[in-house]
Amino acid sequence: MGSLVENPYLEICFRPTVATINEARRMVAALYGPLLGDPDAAGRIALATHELLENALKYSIDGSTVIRVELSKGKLPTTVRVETRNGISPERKQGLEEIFAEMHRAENADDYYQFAMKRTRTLRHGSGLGLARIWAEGEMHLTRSYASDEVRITATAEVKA
Amino acid sequence: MNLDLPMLSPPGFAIVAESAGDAITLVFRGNADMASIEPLDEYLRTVHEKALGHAIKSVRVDFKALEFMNSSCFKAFVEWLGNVQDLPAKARYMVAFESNRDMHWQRRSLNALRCFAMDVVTVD
Repeated sequence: MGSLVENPYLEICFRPTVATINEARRMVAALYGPLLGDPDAAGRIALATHELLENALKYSIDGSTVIRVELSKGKLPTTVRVETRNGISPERKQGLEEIFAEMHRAENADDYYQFAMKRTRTLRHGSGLGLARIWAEGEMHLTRSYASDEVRITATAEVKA
Repeated sequence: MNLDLPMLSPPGFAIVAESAGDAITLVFRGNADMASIEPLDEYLRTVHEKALGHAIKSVRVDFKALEFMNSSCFKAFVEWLGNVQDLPAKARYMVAFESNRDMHWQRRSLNALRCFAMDVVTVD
């Protein structure tokens, strides 16, 4: 980490638990705060780390996931990418696609977040807020891709570094 | 006034409640994560019932020692504040959040809650 490499990254492959997700969030905040010199940006990255790992804990087929947090300083703007990769069921894939379709139809992140907050009151299971929160509070762009039965969810933010 | 709101303390997370006059104070501490969802949800429902039953005018929510809150626990606040908003204007009470400026997520999360329930939420 630090100034030794151009694109410093942190990657962990593990079976997340409630306790280890908290530790991973703290570690990301502790590493990226000094690296970016921006505690607010580090907090946004930590939030995305936590929410994506909780999604992995809830939905990963075998309970395991890979999380990668990478700072790209090679070209402007400097970006941070938080990414999880894990197995996904067809049902979860369909649900995820519906969420991304909703986000694409939304005017902006804040509007979608308020929509998701109104809707969450009607949901018996889950909050439907995790990705909306990363988009709105984390100010991070979200994408997803699939390979076989694996999903890769990526949250990207521009940062000053 | 004793509202008989117990201290909530699942692992790594705690709420301490106090009441005086027509106000309740809830002091949060630790991590509101997946282990906290059900107790938090139940606790906020109890606070709402007590507030209505005792004609409470305001609830102060102290987040200064709350390290993090996940989206599922955030949902519990959305439901609570939605229930306050659903009340007739005369029966509503105000919810005042106190934040910690060093915990940057709080400003963003509390701003979202204020936008969601502008009539009943203030943030300091």
